[in-house]
Amino acid sequence: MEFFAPEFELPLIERRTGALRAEVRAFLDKERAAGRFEPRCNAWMEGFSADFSRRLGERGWIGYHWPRSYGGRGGSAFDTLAINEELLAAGAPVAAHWVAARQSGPLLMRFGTEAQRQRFLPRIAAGELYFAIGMSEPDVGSDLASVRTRAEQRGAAWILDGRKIWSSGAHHCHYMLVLCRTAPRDAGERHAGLTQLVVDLKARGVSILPIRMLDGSHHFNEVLFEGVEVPPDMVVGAPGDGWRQVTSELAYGRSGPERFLSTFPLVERYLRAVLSAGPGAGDPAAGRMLARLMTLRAMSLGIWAALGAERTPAVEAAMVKDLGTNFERDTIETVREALAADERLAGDAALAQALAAAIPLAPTYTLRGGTNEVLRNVIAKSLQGA
Amino acid sequence: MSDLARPLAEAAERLFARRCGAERVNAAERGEWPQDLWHAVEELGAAKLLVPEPRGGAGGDWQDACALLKKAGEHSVPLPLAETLLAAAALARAGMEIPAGPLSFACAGPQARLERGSRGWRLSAQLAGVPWGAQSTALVLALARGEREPPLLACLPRASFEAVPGRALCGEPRDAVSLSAVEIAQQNAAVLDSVDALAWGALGRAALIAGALRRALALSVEFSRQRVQFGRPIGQFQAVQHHLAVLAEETAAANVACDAAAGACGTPWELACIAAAKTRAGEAAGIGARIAHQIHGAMGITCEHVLHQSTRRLLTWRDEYGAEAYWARRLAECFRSRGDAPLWSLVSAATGREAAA
Repeated sequence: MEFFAPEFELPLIERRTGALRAEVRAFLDKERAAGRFEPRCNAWMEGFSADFSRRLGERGWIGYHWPRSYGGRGGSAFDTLAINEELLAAGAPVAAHWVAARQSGPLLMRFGTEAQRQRFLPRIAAGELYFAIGMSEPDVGSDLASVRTRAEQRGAAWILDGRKIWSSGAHHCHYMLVLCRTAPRDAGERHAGLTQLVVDLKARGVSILPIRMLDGSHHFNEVLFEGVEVPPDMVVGAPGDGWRQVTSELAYGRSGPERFLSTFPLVERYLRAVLSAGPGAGDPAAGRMLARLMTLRAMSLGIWAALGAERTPAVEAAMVKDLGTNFERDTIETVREALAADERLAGDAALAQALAAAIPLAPTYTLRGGTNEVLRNVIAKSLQGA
Repeated sequence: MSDLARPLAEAAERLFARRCGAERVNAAERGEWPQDLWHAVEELGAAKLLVPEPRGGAGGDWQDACALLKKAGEHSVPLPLAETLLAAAALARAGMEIPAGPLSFACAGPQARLERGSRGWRLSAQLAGVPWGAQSTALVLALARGEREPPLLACLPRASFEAVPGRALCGEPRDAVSLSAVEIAQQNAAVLDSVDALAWGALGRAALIAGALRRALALSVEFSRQRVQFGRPIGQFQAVQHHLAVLAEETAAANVACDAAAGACGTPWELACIAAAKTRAGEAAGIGARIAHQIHGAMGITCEHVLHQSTRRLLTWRDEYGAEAYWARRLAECFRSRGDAPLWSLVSAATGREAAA
């Protein structure tokens, strides 16, 4: 392989995608005007609205590129990207269905049985069915291969015991995709013996305990499994294949535009104020933010093109996630400084308020979906040819 | 990549890998003009890459030019490749003759005094840091003439100006050029419509930076594999691995920013994308040079080690044809001029190329 040849080939986007984008934008304008949502940062995690997700589903805007037989509209991957970008840019409340559409659905599409696809995908696309991520555990964060939650076969069914933590929105979700151990640990084969199960969060033996965030809000949960009976048809892929699958799931989870657009509502408000006011000494700060944003967007398109071509751009996604989430953190600092230093923003109470709202949960940006340190390890290993 | 870009980049890689080693670059920095290398580059069609075929050029586009310049940046090629390529393209665009040999390319603002002369124009100016001014066969100068009038492109034969040789941190010639009431014949000046010469220069520098970052990354990976401390290669330390990862990210960002700008050339977003590319590549150059030196330790700041050839260029190129602050301001102005459309609609339009219907 040629040294350092990341795949960021920039794609050409079809015109109909532009038309779809305009349609989504018009819908969002109307929703906002009707007071159905207020733009907010980090809305793909903090903005829960079952009603809004259902309205998106009615329009076909969840899993738009999925085959029609699974509730999609048979569009291109770029159609879905355009829809997602518009939703994120608007700060729309998409948290309810986000994980299901982004990673659980695609995982089932790739590794699930036909019956599983028929059962789950159309309802995910309808915006009615939500999934939680079941990876981290109380003692297992970045080092996923060490999960201790385990399932044993009893008759045909699997009996699940253990606990998952940091499960965003699990208290609203219907199912969790649980990564668990189904064979004893083998020191030589750390990644063997793992399996993914779809677990009904209403099943007997499941308890969901809230974990309050530092600002008192409730997104995280700890989920306990005590002798939970999981029917055999809820195994995803082959038992023991969990590691390979969860790696794919992580790639889906890391590749999207939410990894640099979490603070876009704040960015929009700031840049709009600066640009509308005429030239000023704060322009270079605004321009730098734009330059980084445009570059991230171009990189993100490159990743999406690779995904659409059935490749797994894991290293590229790690690079964009590290750059993108640090960009998100930096946007907060740029706005904070501009509020104090750029006279064009003096007295902009709405901007100050948006800034204040973005700060409490900003530390999550560079932690979720794999900490940036773990991502840097992934990138370095690929550079070193390991 | 276009049909031309890939084979061109491959041919350039073969040529530079064979003929442009560290010794060659050092010799050039001591003042030796690498004539045979220049010939080989001309044979590659590099100098007239952006000149249309009917005018004797290769008819390439900006994606081809960036692919070539990235290779030149990667190998620290000690030639006015970007300058000649841009000067020839500008001359072709303005419908002027293209002189043979290496060309210098610069922009001048209000410090230049331009008057109507007896047979055309008369120009007086003192220009600092003109790349390869003394070595060139001609200096191609884009002269800004205020808000109202489009810039004038002048082609000044070497004999018409004084050049005091100088060198920038990068080790390449950056000369002080003095023009005193130089008469410019009619055929050697033309209005340069719809071309922002400074932006062209900026995109050229961004591509060179993208290439040089790739080199700095390759050297850093290699050094961290070989250098042993505390009983193991330093590349096995996580602190060093994280430096490598960030350097790779910056390298990727500069490369993609360049590709996006090259792809936007000829569209309404050309200027914005070039502004973004120079801003982002300049930022990456600073971060990248710093990390590469940190990884190399004291070894990297010695004359003996080859790293400085890349990092000195990174630090010079980021300042040329407009540094980050300049282009960031221009970028803000580009967006401001679009009115109050939703910002994401502008960002997505600027960075997403639509296929022709």
